[in-house]
Amino acid sequence: MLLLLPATALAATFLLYPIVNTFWMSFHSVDEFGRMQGFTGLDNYVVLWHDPAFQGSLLRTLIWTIVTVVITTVISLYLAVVLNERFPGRTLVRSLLMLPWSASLVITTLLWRWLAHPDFGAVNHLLHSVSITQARIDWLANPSLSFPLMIWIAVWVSIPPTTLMLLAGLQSLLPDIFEAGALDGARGLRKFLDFTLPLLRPIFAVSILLNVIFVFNSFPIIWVLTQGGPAGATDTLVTYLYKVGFTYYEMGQAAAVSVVIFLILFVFAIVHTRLLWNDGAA
Amino acid sequence: MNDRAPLSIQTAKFGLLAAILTVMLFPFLVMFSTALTPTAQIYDFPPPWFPAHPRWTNFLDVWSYVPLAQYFANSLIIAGGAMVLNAFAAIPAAYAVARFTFPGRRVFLHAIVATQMFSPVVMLIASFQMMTQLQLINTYWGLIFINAASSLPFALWMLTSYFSTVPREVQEAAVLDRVGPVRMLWDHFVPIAMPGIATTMIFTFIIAWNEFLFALTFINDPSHQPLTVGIYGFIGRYQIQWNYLMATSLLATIPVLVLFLLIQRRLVAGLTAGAVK
Amino acid sequence: MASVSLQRVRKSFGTFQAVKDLTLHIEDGEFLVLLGPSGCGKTTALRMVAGLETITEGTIRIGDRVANDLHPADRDVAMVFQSYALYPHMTVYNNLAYGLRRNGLPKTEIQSRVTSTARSLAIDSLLGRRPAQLSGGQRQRVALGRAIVRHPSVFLMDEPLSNLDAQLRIQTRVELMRLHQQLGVTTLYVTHDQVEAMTMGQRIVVMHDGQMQQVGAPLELYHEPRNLFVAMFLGAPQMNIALGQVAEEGDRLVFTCADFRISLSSKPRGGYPNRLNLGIRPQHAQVQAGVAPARGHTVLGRARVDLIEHLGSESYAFVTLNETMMVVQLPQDMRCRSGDVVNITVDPKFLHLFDPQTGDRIPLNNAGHTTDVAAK
Repeated sequence: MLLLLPATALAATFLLYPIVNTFWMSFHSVDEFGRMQGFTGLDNYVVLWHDPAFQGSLLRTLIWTIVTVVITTVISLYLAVVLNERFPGRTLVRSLLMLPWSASLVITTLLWRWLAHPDFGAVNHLLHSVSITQARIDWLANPSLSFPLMIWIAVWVSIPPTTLMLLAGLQSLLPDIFEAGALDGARGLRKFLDFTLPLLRPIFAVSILLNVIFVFNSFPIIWVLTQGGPAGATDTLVTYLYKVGFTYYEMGQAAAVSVVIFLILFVFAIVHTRLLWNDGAA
Repeated sequence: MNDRAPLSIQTAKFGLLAAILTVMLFPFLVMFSTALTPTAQIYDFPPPWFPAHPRWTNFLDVWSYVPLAQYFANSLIIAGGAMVLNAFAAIPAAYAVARFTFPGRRVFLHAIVATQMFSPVVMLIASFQMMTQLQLINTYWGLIFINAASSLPFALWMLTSYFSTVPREVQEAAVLDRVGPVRMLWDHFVPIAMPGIATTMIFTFIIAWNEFLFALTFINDPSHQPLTVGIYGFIGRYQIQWNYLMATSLLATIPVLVLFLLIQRRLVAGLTAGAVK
Repeated sequence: MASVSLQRVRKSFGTFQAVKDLTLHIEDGEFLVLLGPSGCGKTTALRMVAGLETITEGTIRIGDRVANDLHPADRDVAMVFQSYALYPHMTVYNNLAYGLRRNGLPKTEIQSRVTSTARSLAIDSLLGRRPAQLSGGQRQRVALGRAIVRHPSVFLMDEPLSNLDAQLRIQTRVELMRLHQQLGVTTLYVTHDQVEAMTMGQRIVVMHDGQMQQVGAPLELYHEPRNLFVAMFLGAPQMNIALGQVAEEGDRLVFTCADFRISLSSKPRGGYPNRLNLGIRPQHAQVQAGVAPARGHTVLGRARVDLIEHLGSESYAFVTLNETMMVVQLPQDMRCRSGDVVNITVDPKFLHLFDPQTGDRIPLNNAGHTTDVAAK
């Protein structure tokens, strides 16, 4: 089919080939110039498995993804429900809500670096002003502070698209089903639990899937905030991958990390689809 | 419906909304305030919420502080190029998927979704290698290709759903007029689905405009760096000029924000249409 | 079981008045049809009774309670929606049981009600399925079941048959009427289909532009329409109308228009303008079959046959009498083709006169007919 040609060519060259190549590379020892030196089987994977930095990154990535997606979904659901009602200024609120999504992640993260500046940042200033604490909090140097901060930034950035999506889902629900429900006695919280949530399931499925993939693979936030530091304490798999490949030039191992990332997401997508999609749709 | 909740719940509901909104938007106020701060006062302590003498000329100074015009131009070329190339590939393909059944259609669709899972980061290593071999490092084309390709799954998802909304009858009527597939696409589908196509193209542009990782990896020649990398470069310097950084960021974001507001409604319609299958 | 009473009910959406000053009383156990074209306010009125629309002005009583501020679930009404509005994410059983659960009925009671209702509607084999897996007719029964199982005081039905195909529609219509005979629940039924209204309603309320045009038994509305709108809305094919003048000639009233002249069988009761609309239903006019007009009929004039419609049980001819186009009955045994020139005869007892300005019918001194019945 001629119509498919440009897309197939583009995808094959710049998507498929690198993907396949990545798989291939992961089974080889690769020198710093990217030349493959020899088949090493699962050696690269074994090295990874024993690398505490890898283990730490893996764990951190899971926490990072799950916490971010959960918080984002809850807040966005709330916003979507409220925005679904008519009130004066609704359009304005919706548009304003898009702001955190429109800036590039680099800009967003740099902004938060400024906000989190220990001396001149607005966050500390705010905390001081309302007398919560007078301490000079160094958000970026301390991983137990910078990691939550990263999660918060990811949530902050993910709320607009998720809210928009859930709102669209809510608006696609036919009102007469809710009217019938009202006649049957569903009001308030009951209405929400018995109708809104179950009917939103397909949209939830899509939004969670997209969010998980996006957050799991997110690079700029972590890199720009702490570069995964100090000493890899805030690395996720993606920044770890970057370091292994472009700082230590262990391309083979980096490729192995790539494969691991892919496999995790692949399994997740399958499980997720099975759970949320097939159960309920006819 | 007589479903008005009591006033207390209403107040709490909108109170929470206002609180969330404040938290979401507060950083931008700081961004704006900082952008207007004269250089001498960035490191004032305690930091003022708004500069006493806002310096609007900061927005002009940044153009010479960093090669901002060059960054803008580079971003424009890369994002624009990626948008066009992506459209060129995705539109015919989405049309084919939406309108015809052909052997391998399901496989094609599943492959597309799978590549989305693979997201750029994971292929970074291999892509870098490939770009080096093709001598596309430090060129516009390298980034144009990779951005166009990595947005392809998304564009196909959106465009397929937009094309599916074109009524079948239009196609059937045109067939009676003896219209071949390419003409059908150009004369009928594209005009009808144009809002959806525009939305997808603009979104591809935005994604490429905001893209960081590949730009960082593939380009180290300053003359070819797009905005994202250029702005990132602010933190490499001895002391970060936060006010210029904020000003630059604002300038870099405004075009995107405008585009965003234009497409946001239709964008989500396309994203969710696939879910309500 | 309860009566429903609307008093001076008005509904505005901004500046648009969907329902203007509606006063209506529905007796306990009555089957009342709200009939009218799209946008006449019938559905809005129904929804106000249900509590799905707020009432701008006026009072609605269900039973002896004022229902204006009651939540829909507290009004003891059940509704069948035009789109059925089944809960897509619940099984048929749960669709039926949901309302009962919300109202706190014990589980055993719920189960017995649901199963017996399902059985009576022949959907008991479908209880485990989801709405998406049902056919249109099955869905309609589930919607009905959901309303019945609640044992409400009032049934509200919003064009429940409109999404069914023709045959199923007729079957279900009969079933609904049987159901009403059985259960005897007060029913408010909205439709735009005058056949449904005529066959099902004990009384019909014809609405137009937010206002009630007439209320009464079906035959009453059919034979004594209060105005032109009601006359033309009920009965198919539509009543034939001609504009002309009326003058007394001796003890008769004669109607003259450009194309024909006819004497009416009686005179108007009160005053009347000289320009009037004359109306005659196709059922009371026909193509003259034999040498002489049918019994009771007078010849109207000669007309050319344009088109013939055979419905099986009866046939109609579309004719042109000079310049006037009419639809008349074609007697079964008559052979006729388009192009033929025939005599058109009418039964003068069934001629109606309408005021061209107001649309109101001019009541005539017809023996055996009663006057219009106003709303109680």
